Amino acid sequence: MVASSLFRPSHFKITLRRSAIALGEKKKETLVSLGLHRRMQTVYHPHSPETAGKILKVKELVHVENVPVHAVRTQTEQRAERKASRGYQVDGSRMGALSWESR
Amino acid sequence: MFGAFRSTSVNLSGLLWKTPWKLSPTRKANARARLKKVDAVIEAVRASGIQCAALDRALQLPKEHEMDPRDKYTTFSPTSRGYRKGIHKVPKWTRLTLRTNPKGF
Repeated sequence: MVASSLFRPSHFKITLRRSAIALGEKKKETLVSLGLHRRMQTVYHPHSPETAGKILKVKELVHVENVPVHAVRTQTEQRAERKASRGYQVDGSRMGALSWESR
Repeated sequence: MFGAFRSTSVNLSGLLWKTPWKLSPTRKANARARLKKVDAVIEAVRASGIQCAALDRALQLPKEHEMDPRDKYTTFSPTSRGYRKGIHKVPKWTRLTLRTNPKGF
C-alpha cells in the first residue's frame, strides 16, 4: 500500500519552454508564482487544483509531466545531476602521515 | 534586372516587411506540432486526476486532430473579406490559444 503510493505520480514536473515576454503581466506573474523565471528551468509542484490552474493558464509556454515523489529534485540536486564527473577519485592524503608532523 | 542593384520594392522604398498571406507547409507543420504540445500539457493535467474549473475549460477546447484545417491556420477577423485571416497575422499567435472561432464564421 505504502510502496504503491510512492510510485504513483504525485507531482507536476514543469519546464518553462517559452518565455512570457510581451504576453501580459497576468501570465508573467503566473510563471513567477510557479517559481519559473528562466527558460528551460524545471520546478516540481505537488498535485493541487491551484497548480493545475496555473499550468493551464500558461499551457502554451510549459512542458508538464506527472512524476512520483521520489523523482522530485530541488534546484541544487538538478544542478548536481547535470554536473560532469571530475574524472578522478581522491583515495586519501599523505598529509600528516609522517611521525614528526603534528596531527 | 538581376544583381545587387536590381530595382525591387524593398530597394525602392526602404523599410518594407511583407507578411505572406498564408502559411508555408513548414510553418503549418510547426503550428500543428505546437498544438500537439499544448494538447499534451492538458492531457498531463487531466491524467493527474485533479479537478478544477480551468481544466474543464481546457477540455472544452478541440484537440489538434479534431480541429478543422481552416481553424488551425486561419482565424476570425471582422474586417477581412470572408471574415477570415491567416492565423499568423495575430500578434504572438504561437503563444496564444486561438482554437475556436465564432460559430458560422
